[in-house]
Amino acid sequence: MTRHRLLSLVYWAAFGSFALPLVLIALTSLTQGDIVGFPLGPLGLHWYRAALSDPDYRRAFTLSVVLALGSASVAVVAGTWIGLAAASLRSRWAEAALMAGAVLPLGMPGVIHAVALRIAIQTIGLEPGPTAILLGHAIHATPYAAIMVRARRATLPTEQLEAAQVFGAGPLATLRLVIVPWLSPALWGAGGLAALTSFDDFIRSFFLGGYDPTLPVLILGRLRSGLTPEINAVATLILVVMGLACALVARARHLGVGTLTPDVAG
Amino acid sequence: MTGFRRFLFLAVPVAWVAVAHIGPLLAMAWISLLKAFPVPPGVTPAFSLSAYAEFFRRSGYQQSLLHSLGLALAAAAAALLVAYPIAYYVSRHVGPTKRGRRLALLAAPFWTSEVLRMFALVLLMANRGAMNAVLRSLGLTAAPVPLLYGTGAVLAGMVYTVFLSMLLPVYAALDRLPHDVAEAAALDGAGPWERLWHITLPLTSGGVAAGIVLTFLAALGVFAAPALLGGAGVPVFAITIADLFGAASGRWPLGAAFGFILLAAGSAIAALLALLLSRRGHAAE
Repeated sequence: MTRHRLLSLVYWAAFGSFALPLVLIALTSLTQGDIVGFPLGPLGLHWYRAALSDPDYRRAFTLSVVLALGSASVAVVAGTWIGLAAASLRSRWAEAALMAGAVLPLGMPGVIHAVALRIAIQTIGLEPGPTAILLGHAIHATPYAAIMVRARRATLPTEQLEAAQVFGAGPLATLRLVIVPWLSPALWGAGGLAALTSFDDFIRSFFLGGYDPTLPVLILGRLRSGLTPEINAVATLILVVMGLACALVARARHLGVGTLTPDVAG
Repeated sequence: MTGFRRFLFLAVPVAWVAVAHIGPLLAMAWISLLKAFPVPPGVTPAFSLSAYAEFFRRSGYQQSLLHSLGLALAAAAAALLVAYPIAYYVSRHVGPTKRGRRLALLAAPFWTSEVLRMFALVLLMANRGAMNAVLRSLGLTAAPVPLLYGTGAVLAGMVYTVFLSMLLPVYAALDRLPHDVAEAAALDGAGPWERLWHITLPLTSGGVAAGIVLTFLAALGVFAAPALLGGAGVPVFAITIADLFGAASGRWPLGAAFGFILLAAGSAIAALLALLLSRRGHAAE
């Protein structure tokens, strides 16, 4: 076997090992029986009907979507502000210090960041719950937005800023008419990434949540308390929704958005 | 920009970073040094290192930390063994227009929540899971083979959680490396393994070091894999810490201190690894 064939085999074997387990979720969701696993037994959509009418999943899904959109908005504003401020600093050291602080949440192991956030909300007297999760997710996603905005801002042609100045635009008008339109691919990319990261997040939601679980927290709880194929139906629906969302983000990439890979820090 | 506007423009992001990014760590440090938590109103908080001392007093905690460090190292090593040939393949054997798509395809399963990925592994490895079903239908086993609830399953879950933190830096390093260096060595009669060991690997050691450090640190903080795949027999420090935050807040100083112990041990090992790998890289240059 040539080296090329061997390496290509490794690639496809790895892809198979990463993708196949997810296919198993969809496969086992199609059973009519009560048991998660193989053999499947008679097939049907019974568990999808059960999942779609389960109020717990509906509530968790709504909460997860609201948190994803809310935390992504906060993260984009905070990250953009940080990225633009960093770009405006004349001292390289000051810029490096600000960006180092900005990416700090990315470098921490997930469980430690979650615990630190739990202590922080306790310290400021905020109860665990949706607000706390929203803040936690926003803080986790701010580094992505800051990095992407900082990189995109560096490519802004200075002629555009000079032109705005010549025409008498103040700082806010320049921001609105020149800088934000130029940043928009980075803003949408960072926003999409932040929303997906929030929707997927387990560890921060687990520590910062009150009585209402987000979707991943609810699923983990149900997984630990015993399996029914209802979880498979819910998980399959999430996979389909995520697939569609990724396709949208991938299309946005054609517009010049930075990244096509999910959260790596966990 | 006027002075006040300029101040506002800079003060808001600096405040966000200080309060939201650094603040939680400071709060954790403060709690880890408290003698008793919560501090009753009207009482001056007393500080001590007793939470840190508790770690050294109980061998169970130390074993759980060591186990975590070992697992995270093994996860980083396993991820490197898989990621390097893949990154090499995509950067060297795939046409430049198709590289991004190949990388995105491999990364696609990682867009799903880590909880769902771990659930998928349960379906693969459980007694009634896909692997046992295949083994049974091939007649290789009559009774189900216990694959879940052990160190092996947790390791697989960790790699499945953090694999991208290895793939991306390694790929970036290989993609930057000019092809003609290895080609020149080939002209000088170096075989493929010699070229890999003496040229390609040392010249991509920066990416490998970054990948190992990122993957190792991420694997240390993984919670879902040991929680769902580990059963009771695999004690990891992430779970130990999480449990201390579970019920009464009286155990919080211990949990906070353990968080810093994990961070310190992890950073020290990560720094050591980065140093060793960069030495090897420089020695080759």
